[in-house]
Amino acid sequence: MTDTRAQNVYDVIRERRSIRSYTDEPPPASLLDRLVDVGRWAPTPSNVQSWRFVTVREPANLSVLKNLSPGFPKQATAAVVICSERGDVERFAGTARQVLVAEEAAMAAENMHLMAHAMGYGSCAVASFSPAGVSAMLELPEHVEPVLVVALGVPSRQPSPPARKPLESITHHEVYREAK
Amino acid sequence: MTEEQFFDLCMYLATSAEGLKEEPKDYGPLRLLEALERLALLGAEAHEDAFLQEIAEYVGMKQDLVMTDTEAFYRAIEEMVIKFALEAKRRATRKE
Repeated sequence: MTDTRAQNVYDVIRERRSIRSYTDEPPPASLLDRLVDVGRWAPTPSNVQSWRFVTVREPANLSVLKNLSPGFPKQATAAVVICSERGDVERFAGTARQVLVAEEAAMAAENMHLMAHAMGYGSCAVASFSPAGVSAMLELPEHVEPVLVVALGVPSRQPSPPARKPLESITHHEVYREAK
Repeated sequence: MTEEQFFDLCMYLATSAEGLKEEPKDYGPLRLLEALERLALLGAEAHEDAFLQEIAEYVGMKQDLVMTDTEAFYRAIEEMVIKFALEAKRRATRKE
């Protein structure tokens, strides 16, 4: 790979890890704004953009969010809760509504993870949370539901890369052929 | 244990109970370990208990294995139980 831009993107993708250990330094509000900005530039089916983002930095609010999210890294110092606006989703006809909601949130989150990593911060997607509890604490209106939480902070350690299946074991060209 | 710590732990257990009905089965032990870590830290502080401090640190180091290496995760739990067994024996002997 000779192109520097492509190499930079590849490096950020390869280096990013889900961070579960953080220092107590909170990220600046500008980081959260930047992450929401890159989140909204993620692919979105039919340009639906059902996503809504709630940033959380206040320690008291973060503490409640942590208690409502058993999967939340204890030391994370900020979060972005990715929500979905039901009206937008319903305007996108079809029966794949829940797929769309998950797709949008996941793609937005990935942009946010990569950007956070590129800026020297750590992040971790958290799907283990109480939707009802989080909705109540964030005062979400009924037509907005929380889908995914992105925990953030300054990493205190960089985990080793986890194992990945070899490319040849997951790649098929033109047609799917089981390995013999 | 302060009122806030007690409340936080109770809330953590309540939300864990709600979430576990749909989560992967390995998250059950993970949630219990997280609660154990919090309790052990509180116990270590309240009673100057070095063993509980060690357990809290051990759990803190090992619990993330559930995401990357479940075999090592369960091995770590087994090793932790052995630590408890040996410590319980030591404490029982001390009382005699």
